[in-house]
Amino acid sequence: MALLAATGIDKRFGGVVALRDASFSCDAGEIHALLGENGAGKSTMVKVLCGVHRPDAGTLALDGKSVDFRDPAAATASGIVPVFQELSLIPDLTVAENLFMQAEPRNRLGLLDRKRMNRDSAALLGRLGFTGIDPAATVRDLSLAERQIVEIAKAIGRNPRVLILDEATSALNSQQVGQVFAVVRQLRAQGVAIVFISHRMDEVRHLCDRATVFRDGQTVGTVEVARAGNDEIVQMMIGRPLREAFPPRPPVAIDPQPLLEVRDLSLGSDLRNVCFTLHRGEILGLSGLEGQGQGELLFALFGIFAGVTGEVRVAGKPYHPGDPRGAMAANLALVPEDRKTQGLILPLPVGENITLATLPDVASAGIIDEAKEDAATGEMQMRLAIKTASMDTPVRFLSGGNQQKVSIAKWLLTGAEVLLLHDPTRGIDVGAKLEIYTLMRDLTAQGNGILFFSTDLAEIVGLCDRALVMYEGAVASELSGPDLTEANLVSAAVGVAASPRAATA
Amino acid sequence: MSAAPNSVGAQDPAAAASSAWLRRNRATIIPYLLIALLLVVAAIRTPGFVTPANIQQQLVLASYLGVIAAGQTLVILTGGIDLSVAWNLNLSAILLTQLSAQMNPFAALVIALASSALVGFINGLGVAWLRIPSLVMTLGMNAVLAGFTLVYTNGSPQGDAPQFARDLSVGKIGGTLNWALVFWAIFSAALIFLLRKTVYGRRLYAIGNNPKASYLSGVPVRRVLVIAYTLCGLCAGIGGVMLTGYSAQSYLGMGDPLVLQSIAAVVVGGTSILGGSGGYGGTIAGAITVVLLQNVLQIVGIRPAGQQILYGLIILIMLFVYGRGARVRE
Repeated sequence: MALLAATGIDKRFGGVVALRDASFSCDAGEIHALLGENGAGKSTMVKVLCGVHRPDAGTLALDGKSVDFRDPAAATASGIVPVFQELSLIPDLTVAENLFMQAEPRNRLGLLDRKRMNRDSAALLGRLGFTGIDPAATVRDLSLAERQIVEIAKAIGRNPRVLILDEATSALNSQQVGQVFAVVRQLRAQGVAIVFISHRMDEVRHLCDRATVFRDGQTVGTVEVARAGNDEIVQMMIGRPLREAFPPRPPVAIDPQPLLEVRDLSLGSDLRNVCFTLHRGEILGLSGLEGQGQGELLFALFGIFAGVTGEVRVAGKPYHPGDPRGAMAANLALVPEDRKTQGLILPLPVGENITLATLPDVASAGIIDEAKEDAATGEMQMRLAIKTASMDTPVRFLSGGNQQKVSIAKWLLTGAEVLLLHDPTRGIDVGAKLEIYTLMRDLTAQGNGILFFSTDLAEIVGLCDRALVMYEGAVASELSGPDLTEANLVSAAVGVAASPRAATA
Repeated sequence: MSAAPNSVGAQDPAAAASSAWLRRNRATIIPYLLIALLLVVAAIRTPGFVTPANIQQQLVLASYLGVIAAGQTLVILTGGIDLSVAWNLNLSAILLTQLSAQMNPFAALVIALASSALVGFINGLGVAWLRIPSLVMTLGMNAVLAGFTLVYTNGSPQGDAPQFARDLSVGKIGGTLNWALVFWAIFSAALIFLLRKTVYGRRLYAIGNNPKASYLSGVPVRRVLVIAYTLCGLCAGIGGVMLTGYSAQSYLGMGDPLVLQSIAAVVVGGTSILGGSGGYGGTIAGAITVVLLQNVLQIVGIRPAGQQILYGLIILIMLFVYGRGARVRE
């Protein structure tokens, strides 16, 4: 009998289906991996298991008995303890205070027994093999890796029956990962079930007994890791038909002069020696798992970050990313990830959003020329087929697709040549997606270059001329022509070389 | 105003349009309703209160507050607040009277206004570049100015208001229309034009609503902020000159009541304390409301302490009323 089993789970967020009739179960004394592309439903499943989300349909069973967790505390009380990638530690408290949060030892007077707390913390960390972390240290002063270890220690300190590690080793170096794995194996021997999510295929292969693959919110199947090949697992992860038709790719007349040249662009540990070139008429895809530096790369090019090193040229001229105004002067445009907080000013009218980046162009002597502004916004409305009652309607009343068109229209008006697009079709309907694809093709036909980050592999394959796959802040491989397939993108994204052209990081 | 939103979920479009109209205009409707209410109360209590001459007198008093609250409106639209208007206007008033005794009064005026604008500029630098919260920056500045003016005047400001300041504040054109009202009308028109028709105005609202998206759209966020605080300082300076003209002298602490009053005028006028929505049209009504309220409370027989309590309560009530609307929308 499975220790923890989820059966027929449905979970919807608004209109988005995150899980559909998904099932998962794990036994005592096993390490069980959850695999799938971004948005396949792994994280939602984990959050259902540990009481963060309540399923719309389906059942959870612990020891064969049906359970319903009202909140994460209820799940924790039943022995299901998660460790998430987003850290839950309180930075201004000490390691020990965090470890014993809500279970603080008291002395006879009912006051906090700090000595015992520190001693127990040291014992716990020592048991896990991390003696280098001082229980009295403030969490803020720890490195990211140390914090992650404290987070794991905190979970283990609660003596879990099911330990869930959701990308919990992402900040650790290989030696630290090895230590954590040793502890995890020890827990397995004690009969604990471990649910393990990692984007590193080699870790899964190294550690896990079984793996359950998710795709589009459904369970594809469960395999014995030792018996399944990488190809089989990757096939399970992507095996779906293309969902959208893409506009035809015109024969690329590559301009030998690169439009955007990037050499050794680095930013701390977020970006490591990124090199690529983008030509006029080209859509260059950015792929890889989420959080591998793609967003940072777009922001870095647009001048949002301080401390970016490396060399960038736009149309042959050196360009130093400094701030958005500098980027705009260098003919760059960025359509950011979150249109609601970064791309648009929701309460303001559609028209004011469209001209926000080009106000001086529709004004003379600082005074807005309404005729000019109306002409500019009218042209954009026609060109992008923006559906709105009027230019005075607050943009928050528009549908997601039309909001995104407004966000793009703002940048088309600037006449930028290099367009940096951060997942522009996320969460919008298929019709609007197609319109945006067609627009992108039109723009490249006019001599623009587009750097296009998408979490949707079908888009990368269907739309891009070439694609860069990023892994841990570096370009892991470049795919083009017949090699630009979903299978190769996934293989490169999880650090498995499936194609001869896919170089290692 | 007639534009119906394109899609508002399951709501009936006509109802959505009218509720949107109400929401957008509630800001201006409420203070004007309050003004009417106050006038009715005053008329019942003291029939002699509601006469053209007295109404004009009330408007003149409102013009002083209105000019000071104009600067506060700009700063609050950005999402900040300026608590230093109290001693900043006092600084301008003191410089005007003291320097007028030593030099051409117009030169004194220029120095007084420039000093107030400089104070605002420094506030702006602190908020925009050093990222000091505006509350803390301007509160600190207020304390600095209070100390500075005390030292500068040795505790008792000298000199009298020059003639032009008296003319501006209490003089009448042909013995009928107050100069202060003419000035306020021109000043208001200019400010409303700035907010509605210029690149600067657009950027101010954009920043007040969403500084991040504004920055990503190439809006020079810091410059816009510094200009807003500088203009707020300048408005406080002008207000100081007007108040000096009204009382014919300057004295220490003359600006103290104006912090709360200027914020009250802005908030009562429907500008969101969180920034990004509202405008000077509402503040004009807010300033008149605050002045009327003060006088109506007086004729109803409530003492200054009670007036203070009522001010505070009214601000809190207005924040509750408007803030709730904003939360419901989220």
